[in-house]
Amino acid sequence: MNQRSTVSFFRSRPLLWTLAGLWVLSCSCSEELPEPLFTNSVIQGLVQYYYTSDGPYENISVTAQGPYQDQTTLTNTSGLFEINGLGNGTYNLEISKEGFGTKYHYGIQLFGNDTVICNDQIYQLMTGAKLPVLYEIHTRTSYDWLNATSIAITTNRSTSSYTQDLPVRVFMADFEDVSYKNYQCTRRANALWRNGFDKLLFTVWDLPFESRKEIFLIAYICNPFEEGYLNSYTGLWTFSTLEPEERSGVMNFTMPSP
Amino acid sequence: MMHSWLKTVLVLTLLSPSFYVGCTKDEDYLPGLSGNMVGNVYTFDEFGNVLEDQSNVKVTAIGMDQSYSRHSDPTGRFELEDLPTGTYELHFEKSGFGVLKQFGVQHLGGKPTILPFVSTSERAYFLYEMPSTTITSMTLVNDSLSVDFSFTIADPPNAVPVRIYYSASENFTLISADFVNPAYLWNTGGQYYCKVNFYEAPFDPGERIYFKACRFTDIGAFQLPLQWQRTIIGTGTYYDYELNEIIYPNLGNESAQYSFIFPE
Repeated sequence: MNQRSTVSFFRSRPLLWTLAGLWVLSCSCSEELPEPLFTNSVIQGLVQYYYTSDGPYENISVTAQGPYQDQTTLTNTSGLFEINGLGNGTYNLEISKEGFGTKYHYGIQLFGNDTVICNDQIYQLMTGAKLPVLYEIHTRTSYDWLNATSIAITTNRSTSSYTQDLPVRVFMADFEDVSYKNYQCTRRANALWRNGFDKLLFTVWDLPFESRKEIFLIAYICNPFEEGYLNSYTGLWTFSTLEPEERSGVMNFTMPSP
Repeated sequence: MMHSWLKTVLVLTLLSPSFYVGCTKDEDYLPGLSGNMVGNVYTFDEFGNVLEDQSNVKVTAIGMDQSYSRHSDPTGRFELEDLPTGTYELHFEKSGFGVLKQFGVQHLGGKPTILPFVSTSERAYFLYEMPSTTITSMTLVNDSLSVDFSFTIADPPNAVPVRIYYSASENFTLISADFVNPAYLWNTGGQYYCKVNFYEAPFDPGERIYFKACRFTDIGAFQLPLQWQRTIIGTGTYYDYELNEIIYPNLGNESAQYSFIFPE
């Protein structure tokens, strides 16, 4: 069969084209992702929003990423989901929804007829919140048993149109290159916007630093209710709603004496 | 015409690799997977103070056919790469430290296996420096134990943990001890002292009991410095199924033998 007759052989047979296409596709796919031999395992759970909404919790996307093709499902109105037909292997679970921080579960081992339960809460992203330019920092430690440290940061409000309370998380350390990845202590700032004072005021408790020590601080836009979770793959305490780009400059203060 | 159709389909099917994937042996449960193995190891000095730098612990995963090694980074994290599916034996080694092992680590492959880890519910790997402090003398009266140590450090610590071994027979070995308990000796004005717990000790009142001690530290949990939310629970001992005994990797040299009269 010469080249001309091969072309004419396929031209008159659309089904053969389809089969040939499928064959090429199966070759390319099977090289990257193996086929599971058993598919009896299940990941199920309940995903809800934290605090900001009572639901309904439907259409939160949950994806099982494992050795084979990813499998995605959506939660029902109660927030329940179930991914079945999973093959033996180790999986990660990705939980995401537009407007919410994406969370991950790592190292879920499935074998045989395993059913693994993964419950979680997702937190609303603080979309639109902008940090104003922060200028000067003042601190004061209360004398009561709470060991509270009040922090006031003077801001330039004209740089931001956001005049509500600022959803901020602060990270502190006794070194200058403090960031959300490298810090010694983090607190929700719960920053109250005091109209007319151009000040960001918040109080934090039990700062683990000695008096008169120089402390460096950086603030990020982040859902202030999120306490974070341990990313067991990276080993880092992680905030799903933290926006790395929406941050203040590094500021320093001297830890007040009690 | 029909004949050439069938032939083409048959040839395409036989050539397709997916046809062969299905043709596996009955005993295969995983289609030749591999994946990474991730974990954390923490190092402590001989008194249980966590070290600042957790790097250079050699972590080896011993599989059926091959071993895989990596060194921990300054935070103690390690990631062994591309290990085939199987059950592994882990060894944690650093010069001057006891060797910690874990048997029967199941690794399925695919996404990384997360080894017992830094959280409040799971256990991390704790590696302790071999003790250089030695026990020079011991006195036990009723349940009051006083110990003299010879330290190699300038500032004596506030507390020194030991394991105490007791036996009714003279010249006993540690493995044949009738009763063992851990004790924390507190520095009270230069003298290390503690009360010993004899609950369920198999001895009669008035009996002469012989005892020895070894320096040994296993703190069980610690807080990462300055990070209040990170209490890490871990273990520095392991069960060796081949020897059928619990191994204390950082057990110091045994002291001389002393004796006392078991109290009422």
